[in-house]
Amino acid sequence: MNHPLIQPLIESVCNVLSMMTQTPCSTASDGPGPQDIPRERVVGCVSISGDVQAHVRLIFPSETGDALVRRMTGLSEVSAQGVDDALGELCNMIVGSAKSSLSLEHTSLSCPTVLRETGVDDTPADAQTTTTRFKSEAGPFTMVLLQAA
Amino acid sequence: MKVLLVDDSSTIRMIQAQALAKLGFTDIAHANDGVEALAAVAAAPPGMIMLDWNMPNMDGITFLKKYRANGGQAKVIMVTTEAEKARVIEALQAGVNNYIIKPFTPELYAKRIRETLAQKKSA
Repeated sequence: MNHPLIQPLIESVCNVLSMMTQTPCSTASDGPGPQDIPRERVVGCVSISGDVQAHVRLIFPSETGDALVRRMTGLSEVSAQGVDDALGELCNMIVGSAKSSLSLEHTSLSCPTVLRETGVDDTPADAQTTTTRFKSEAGPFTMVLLQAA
Repeated sequence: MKVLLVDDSSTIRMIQAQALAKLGFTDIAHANDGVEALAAVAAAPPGMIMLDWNMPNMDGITFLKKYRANGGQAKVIMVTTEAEKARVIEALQAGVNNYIIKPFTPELYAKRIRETLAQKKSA
């Protein structure tokens, strides 16, 4: 059985990217999983605490992250710091919108953090994870929902 | 009118500044969190404040309560992902004049500003 946040998160990903970056996207069966992105990647992380507890990670290959931020800002060149800031805010909007759609009154979100990785999967071995792959005009990316076991 | 943008995301401040410029606002100040915002309103009182809720150091609702307690009269629009009814009520009780839920379109952003500036008095 899927976590109750999964479907709202999927809908929120598509809604936020459409509204803030004018980038249509959809789920994909053949996109990259978290362990399938060997090149440099950018990971946006937001945690939910309270009545519902979960960690959401959005994993963007660098090319996808850069393209999304160019679309979001209208700028042709964005610094790495600017990309991190923008992707963090997109993650914040995505998780916040999903939380709101479930009317979760007694929950709160962490401030978003953004990590730059080179393909190392640091997911705790005992965590329950749900992975959703997306395809978009800006490139593929992946969402991982983690729950403590 | 001076507008103060308070958000820990420089990207969101930039997007808002672009939208405000299209509406004719040219005097725009920036603050990264509630602490910086308190210093900014003390240094140069704005006519309108666009305020994020979740920020490090001091969040938007704490800033708003302090600002109104100190007699701050600017129009305040909350721009946030916090969309639950209880949060909106809390913000209204703290003295917010209008509310924009992220993500937002440029059209909605402009509409909320026009609505707010048309209000007779601040909260």
